[in-house]
Amino acid sequence: MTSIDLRRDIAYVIVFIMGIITTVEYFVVSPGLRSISADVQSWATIVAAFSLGVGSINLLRIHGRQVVKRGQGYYNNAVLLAGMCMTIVVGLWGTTSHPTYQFIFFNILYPSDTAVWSLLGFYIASAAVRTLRIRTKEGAVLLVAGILTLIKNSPTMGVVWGGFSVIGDWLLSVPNSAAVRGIMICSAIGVLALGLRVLLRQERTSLGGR
Amino acid sequence: MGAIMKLRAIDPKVVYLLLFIVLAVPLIRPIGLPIEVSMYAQRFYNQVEALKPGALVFYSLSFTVAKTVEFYPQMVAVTQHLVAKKARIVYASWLVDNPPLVEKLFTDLSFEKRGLKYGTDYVHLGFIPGVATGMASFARDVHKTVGADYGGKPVGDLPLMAEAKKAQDFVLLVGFLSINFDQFVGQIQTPYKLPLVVGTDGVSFAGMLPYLSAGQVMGILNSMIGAAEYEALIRVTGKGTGYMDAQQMSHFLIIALVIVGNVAMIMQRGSRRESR
Amino acid sequence: MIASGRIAALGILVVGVMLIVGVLILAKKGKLSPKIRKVPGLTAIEESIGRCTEMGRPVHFAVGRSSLTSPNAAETIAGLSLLGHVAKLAAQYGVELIFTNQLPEVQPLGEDIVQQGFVASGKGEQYDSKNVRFLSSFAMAYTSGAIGIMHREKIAANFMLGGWYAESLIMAEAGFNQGAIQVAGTTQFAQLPFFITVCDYVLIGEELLAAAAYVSEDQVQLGSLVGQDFMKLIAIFLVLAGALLSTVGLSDLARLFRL
Repeated sequence: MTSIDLRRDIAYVIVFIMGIITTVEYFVVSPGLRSISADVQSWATIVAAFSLGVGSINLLRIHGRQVVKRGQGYYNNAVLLAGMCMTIVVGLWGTTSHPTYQFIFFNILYPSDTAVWSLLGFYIASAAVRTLRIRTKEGAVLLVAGILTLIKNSPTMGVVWGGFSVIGDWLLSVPNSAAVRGIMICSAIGVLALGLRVLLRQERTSLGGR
Repeated sequence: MGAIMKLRAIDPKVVYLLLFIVLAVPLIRPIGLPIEVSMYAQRFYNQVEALKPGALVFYSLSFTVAKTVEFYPQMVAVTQHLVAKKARIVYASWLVDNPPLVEKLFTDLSFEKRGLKYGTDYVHLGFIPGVATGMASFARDVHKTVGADYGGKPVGDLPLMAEAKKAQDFVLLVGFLSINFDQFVGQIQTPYKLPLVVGTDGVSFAGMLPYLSAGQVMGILNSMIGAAEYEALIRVTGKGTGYMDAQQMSHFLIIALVIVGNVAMIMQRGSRRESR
Repeated sequence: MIASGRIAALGILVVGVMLIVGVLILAKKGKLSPKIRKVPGLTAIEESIGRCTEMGRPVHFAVGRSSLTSPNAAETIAGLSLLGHVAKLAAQYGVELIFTNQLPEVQPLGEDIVQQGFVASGKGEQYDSKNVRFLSSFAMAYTSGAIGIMHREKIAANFMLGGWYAESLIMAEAGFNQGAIQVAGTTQFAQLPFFITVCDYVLIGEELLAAAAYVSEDQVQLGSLVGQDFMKLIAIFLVLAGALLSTVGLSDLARLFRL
C-alpha cells in the first residue's frame, strides 16, 4: 500500500465518521452527540477558512508558472499576481476595514465586476428580441409569458391596470412554482445520491481519486 | 419589404444603442414613474414593522460583488426601517467579499451620528466561512463559530452578543441572499423555525416563491423593484426609486422591439404567401 | 428520541438511502445493467466536433463554478465526465480543444482528464497543457477572460456543461456572436431559460447527469441514476396523492409530512 493510498484511506474514514455523526445528530436528540457535532462543525468551519489560503496558493502556482514560462498573455498573469499580493499585504497590515483596502475594493474590484455583469443586461435584450418569436406553439407561449413577466416587473404597469399584477402573480405562484418545486426535488435527490456515493467511497473524483 | 426585413432581424448593435439611450436618459433626468407595491414587499415590510423595540435581528449577506447594485439599495432601505424600529442587529456575511459592503452601510447611514452604539445596538461579525457547515455551526453556537468580530474584538466583550448565542435568540432573520439561499433555509430557518425575510436579485426571485408559499420565507424583495417598493413603503426616496425609471424604460423598449419583430415576421410571411 | 418535526424527513432519508444503496450494490455486482436513453444533446456534441473539423476551428469547453466541495458538485463531476468524452472525440477528429476553468481544485483534474482523452485516442503527443487554462476564481473575471478567448480563437463549438450561475448568458451570447454551435447543460434552473433561448441544445437538469453517466459507462453512476429515478417515482406518487387528498379535504398526508 503506497503512502498516497494510506492517506486516501484515512481521509475516507474521517469523511465517513464525520458524515455519520452530523447526519445522526440532526435527527436524534442527544446532548452528547450534539456537543460532538458542534465541535465537528466548528472544525469544518476552520478548515473551510484555510481552504481560502489554499486557493490563493493555487492561484500563485498556476499564474506564477505562466509568468515564469512567459506563456501566452503572461503579462495578464503578472498583473493578477501583483494585484493579489498587494491586496493580501494591505489586508494583513491594515485589516480589511483600512481605507486602502476599502479603496481597492470599491474602486477596482467593484467597478470591474459590475462592468462585466452589466453586459448581461444588453445580452438579455438582444437574446429576447431575437428569440421571443411566434414560430411554434411553444414559442408563442414563451413569448406571451415573457412579455407578461416583463410587464409584471414594471411596477408602473400595475398602476395602469391592476390585472397585470394579478396575472403576473399567478404566473409566478402557480406554473413557475410548480416547475421550481419539481426541479428542487430532483436536485435534492441528486445531492443525497452524491453524498451517499462520497460516504461509501463510490465517487471517484472526490479526494483526488480517479 | 426591405424595411420589414430590417425590423424582423434587428442588428444587435442597434438594440444595444437603443438600450443605452433608454437607460442613460432617465438616470440623468428622472421621470418619476409611479410604483405599485407588490404583496411580496408588503409582507417583508409587515414583518419588520411588527418588531418590538430592542428586538434582536440577524442580518446576513450572500451575493457576489457584481450584484451590489441590485442588493445595496434594498439593504439601505431595510436597515433604515430596522433602525427606526430600534432593532438590535447582528450583521454577518457568508461570502468573503460582502463585509466591506456592511461597513459602507454603517458609513452611508451615519450610524454614529444617529447615536447607535457599536457593541450595544449593532455588531458586525464579518465573514463566516464554510457556507452550509458555517451556517449550521453558527445556528448551534454563535460564540464557538465566531470568536471575534470584523474588527478583531472578541465577541465575549460585546454586550449585545451576550444575548446572541444561538439561532433561537434571534426574533427575525433578514437575509440578502443570492447564492447559498437553499443552505441558509436548510441550516438555519427550517431546523429552528425562525421567521425569515429575504432580499434577492431578479434571477433568483422566481426560485424563492415556493418557499414563500410553504411559509419558510415571510417576504421577498425582488431586486431593484423590491428596493423601490420598500422605499415607497417607508416613504423615502433612494437609489431604488431613482433606478426604477431606467429599468422600466428598458422593459418597455424590449417589449416594443419584441412586438415589432413579431409583427414584421408575420407581415413577411403574409407577403410571401401573396406573392405565391 | 427523534427530534420533533424531523420524523418524516428521517423516514424519507431511510427510504432514499435503502433504495440508492441497494441499487448501487446490485450495479456493482453486475446484477443490474441499467439502460438509459441517449440524451439528444450527446449526438449534438459529436456533430459539433465534426463541424469544427470541417471549419478548422477549435472547440471550447467549460464546467462552470460549482465547487467540488459544494452540494452542487454533481454537476461539475458530470461536466468533467463529458470533458473526457469531448477530449477523446476532439483527439480522434484532430480538433483543438480549449478548456477554460474557474475552479482551482478542478485544474489538475482537468489537465489529467484531457490528457487521458488524447491518450485513449492514441494521440497522446498532441495534448497541449496550454489549452487547459485556469483564468480566475472570480466569476466575472473568468467570464471576461473566457469570452476574450472565444473571440480570439474563433471557436466553432462551445460546450458549457456543469454548474452555471450569473455568467451563463454572457458566455452563451458571446458564443452565439461567434457563430459557434452551442451545447449547454446545468441543474441551476434560474440559468436554464437563458440557455434554452440562446443555445442550440440544452441538457436540462438531470439530463446532464444522465449524459455523463451514459458516456462514462460507469455502473456506479448508472446505478445511482436508477436509484434516483425510483425516488422520483415515489415523489410523483406522493405529490399526486397529496394533491388529490387535499382537494377533497383530507390533509392527513400533508400532516404526516409535518411530523
